[in-house]
Amino acid sequence: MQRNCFSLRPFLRGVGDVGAVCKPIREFRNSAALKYAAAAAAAPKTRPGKVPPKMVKLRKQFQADNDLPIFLKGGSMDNILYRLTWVLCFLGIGGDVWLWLGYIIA
Amino acid sequence: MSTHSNHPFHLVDYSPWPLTGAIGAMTTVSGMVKWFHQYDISLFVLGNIITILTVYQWWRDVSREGTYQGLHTYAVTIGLRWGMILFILSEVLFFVSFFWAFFHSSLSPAIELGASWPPMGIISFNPFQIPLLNTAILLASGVTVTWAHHSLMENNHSQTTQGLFFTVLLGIYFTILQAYEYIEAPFTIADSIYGSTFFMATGFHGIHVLIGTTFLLVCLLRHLNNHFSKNHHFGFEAAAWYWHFVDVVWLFLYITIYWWGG
Repeated sequence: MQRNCFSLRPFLRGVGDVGAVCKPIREFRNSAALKYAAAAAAAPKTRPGKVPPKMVKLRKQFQADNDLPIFLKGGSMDNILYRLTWVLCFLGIGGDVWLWLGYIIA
Repeated sequence: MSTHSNHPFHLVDYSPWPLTGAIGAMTTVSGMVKWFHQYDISLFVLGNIITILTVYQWWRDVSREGTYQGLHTYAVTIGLRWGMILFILSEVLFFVSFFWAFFHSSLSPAIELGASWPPMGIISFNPFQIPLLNTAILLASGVTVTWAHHSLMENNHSQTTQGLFFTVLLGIYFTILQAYEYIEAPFTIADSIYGSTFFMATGFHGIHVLIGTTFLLVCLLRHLNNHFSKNHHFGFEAAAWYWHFVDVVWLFLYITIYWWGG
């Protein structure tokens, strides 16, 4: 929509308020959001610094729209840790069942 | 998932960590039962490993969401701040119970204790030796963490690194001294109500020092990886709040248990 608004801008020149036609994508409609938006706008402005290349790379990696959940976006190590955690969880559940069944049966 | 939205709030994704955390906690406490009754610590250790793996990955994901995905807006950080405030409040009430138990016994010692405090047979610590040194260490660490915080707000990377490093170092030093004091203690946790209240209060404080030191160490590592900026560093602020809380608790402990009650 924003792109189309930009493309239509030359033809809309001189036809009233262009801003009324091109609505922003991000809108805050409730009072809490407006309050926070005002507070964020009032936050001190900083001069943009140079972002380290590693940070840029990691930003792209974790913002990629690849349908992976956040706990698996990091790569193979995430996968290994995730599977290890679940394996240990099942071992723990088995140990718990074994322990409590021992007490119940005895 | 998408990082774009028309509101400033963070609607979290599905996560396995609450479930794995619950399983870890259950395994830990079941492991305690097995430890106490069957003298086998394997299940207890397994539960702790599950819990550690869960908290590491859970907090890692939170750091990713805040640092790389930009999901921690001003509104979200307000919620995080209130969460941390309430957590520290619960910790305050946690320690109130230990102080309550201590004062309940010390202000009116029973006849079984010899009607005196410290109870008969108890040789308490000299408050002007290691305890006083530990007080100085924690107060100094409060200064260094504040130094790190102000440096971060002024966008000074190297000074923040130094402040955090010295804070972690002082925390470790405190723990070493406290461990030495425990080794040299002339009484145990089983020696009347004095030993019980002393070791419960100072022991839990020691655990909180370990947690706080770890928290600050993680912040130092995140800082070295450029996770913080002068306007967006709530993880560090939470650690600093927690450390100041630990510091204040020690002051109360020192004055009441070591000095007045010793």
